[in-house]
Amino acid sequence: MDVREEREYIERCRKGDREAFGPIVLAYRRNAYFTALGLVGNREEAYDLSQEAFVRAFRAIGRFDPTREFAPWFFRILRNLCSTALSRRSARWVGSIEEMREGGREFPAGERFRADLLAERNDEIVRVWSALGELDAPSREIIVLKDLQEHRYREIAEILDIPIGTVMSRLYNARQKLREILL
Amino acid sequence: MKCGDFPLKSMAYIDDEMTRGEKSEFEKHVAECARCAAELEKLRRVKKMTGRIRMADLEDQEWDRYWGGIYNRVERFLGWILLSVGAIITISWGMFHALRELLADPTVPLVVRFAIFGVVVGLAILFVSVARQRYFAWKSDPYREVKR
Ligand SMILES: [Zn+2]
Repeated sequence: MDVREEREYIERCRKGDREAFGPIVLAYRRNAYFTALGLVGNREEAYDLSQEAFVRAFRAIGRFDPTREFAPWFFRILRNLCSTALSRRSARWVGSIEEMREGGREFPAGERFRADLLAERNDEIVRVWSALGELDAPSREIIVLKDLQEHRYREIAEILDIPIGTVMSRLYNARQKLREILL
Repeated sequence: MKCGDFPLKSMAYIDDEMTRGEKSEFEKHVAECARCAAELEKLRRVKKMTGRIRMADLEDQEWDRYWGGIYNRVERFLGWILLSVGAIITISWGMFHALRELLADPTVPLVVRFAIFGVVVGLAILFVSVARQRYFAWKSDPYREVKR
């Protein structure tokens, strides 16, 4: 789908045509799912959050500026949904953090960033994947957007609503943290 | 270029976000500065590692029901909006007429008239209060743009 076609479909969506949203979903669904998976590390959640992002985007399409690019606008909705989901999840665990520390157990990361979510599994990739799961959410999201989804700095700045300089400094911090874990 | 510029410049360099001029300036510094060169090597290795992550795709049947799930949610949302707006108008209209009849009826005692007045004013206060609370919660919601 080229830019012109995309604009036409979006224009139809803006007039309330639900069917016209189908090709847009088809074009972005894999990237949406993989982005969500990189952020939350759980298959079912990523499936549901990425669908919900499309639903919200369709509902808000009247407020989308059609002269701008759809992708950064959409991924911003998705990213915000994922961070809400993550902060809800950590709030749920607040009560038992003490308990877990005492028991020497880790955060319940066992159900997330599992090796079976990878297409190709060798020791090194599995190690990198679980290191990604150990990162704090802001570091992880910048790595997912840059290294897994290969967005340009300009797009990342728009998705996260931060200046490009901040994109670079977050990326540097995130890569330093990964380096400490991995190298 | 100074060593202090290394953190940001090294990112732009390994992510190929530099102009040709910036690139050669950066390369010149790294060629002369062993510390920055060693640092750059490690950061490159990290990027190479993360770049190798490939997440597993979903099964075809999961992709087949993906769009249907979205379509249903959008449709249901429209249903809810229509239902709520319709219900509010219908109930308000019914209440308005019921009240007008009750108040016009001379056999209704004064106490009941006061009671009706209380119900109406009470409802109005509750409505305004809830609406105001919702409005402020919405205004201070950091993820408001989700709905934008
Ligand atoms: Zn240096």
